Amino acid sequence: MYNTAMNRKVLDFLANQRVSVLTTLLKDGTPHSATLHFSHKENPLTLFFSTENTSRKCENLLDGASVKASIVIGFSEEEWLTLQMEGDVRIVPRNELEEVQKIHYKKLPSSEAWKNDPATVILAFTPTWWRFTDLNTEPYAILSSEDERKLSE
Amino acid sequence: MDSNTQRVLDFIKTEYLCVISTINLDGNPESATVAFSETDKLEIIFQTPNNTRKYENIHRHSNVSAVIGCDPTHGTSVQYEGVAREIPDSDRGQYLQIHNTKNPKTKKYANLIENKLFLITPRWIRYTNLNVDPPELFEINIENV
Repeated sequence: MYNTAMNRKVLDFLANQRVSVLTTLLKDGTPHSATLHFSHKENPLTLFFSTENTSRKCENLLDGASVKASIVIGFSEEEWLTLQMEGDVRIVPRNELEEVQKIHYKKLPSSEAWKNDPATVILAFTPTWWRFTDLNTEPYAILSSEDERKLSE
Repeated sequence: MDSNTQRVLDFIKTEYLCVISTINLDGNPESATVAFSETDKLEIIFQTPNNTRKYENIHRHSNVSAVIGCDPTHGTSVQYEGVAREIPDSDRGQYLQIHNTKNPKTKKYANLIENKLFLITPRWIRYTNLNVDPPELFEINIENV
């Protein structure tokens, strides 16, 4: 399973963060980025975001398709730690929504105010690649999915 | 410069890091945190070595997006979409001066031969301020800059 390859140090970093930048593609193939609060589960590693189905980021998701996306978590000038991820994002279907809402609203209770808004959708992101960079050292310390895969081979 | 454009400029001048997203060979997005500076025309300047993914991506596909103001405690962010190009050596001096003045920590990379400077020209900008009720939100299109 992919998530077992993610280093525990990176999973702990993820658990302590609340905000991400999610990038998807617009209809014309150009990138669009937005700041979003996120929640996540580890098995399998999946990130969740609450947004509106009218938002630009949802342009290519409304037919239920899974599309490519990238994420950055960690942009603090005090921590100097950053996690990049790439993978697939989709709208959580109705039959999976209850379980995801429990996870999401536990971490982000203020989001629950929009739970019953007809425009509200929850997005699920599954990473296929990641890189965690610690900029506090010289040279930078980098952990990545590619390194983890080599170790497991 | 209208008041909205000035407000965006005033805000991004207070920020030092942004997330830049580019498009890879497969047409998929890739994102990274970078130090940035800006011009009075709301152009974004950043530098990257010529062996990075974003360097190759921009030379193939110049459309990029960015978010400035990712810290939730600030409550303000700018979403930015535009076109990036590598700054030619003939113009490098003026932009490097702007960049190093804002980001003195990155000076150590400035003279590395592999280090390249990029300029992003905006096409679309959205400013969101969640510190006021109701939230303040406006968009700027390139023709208004």
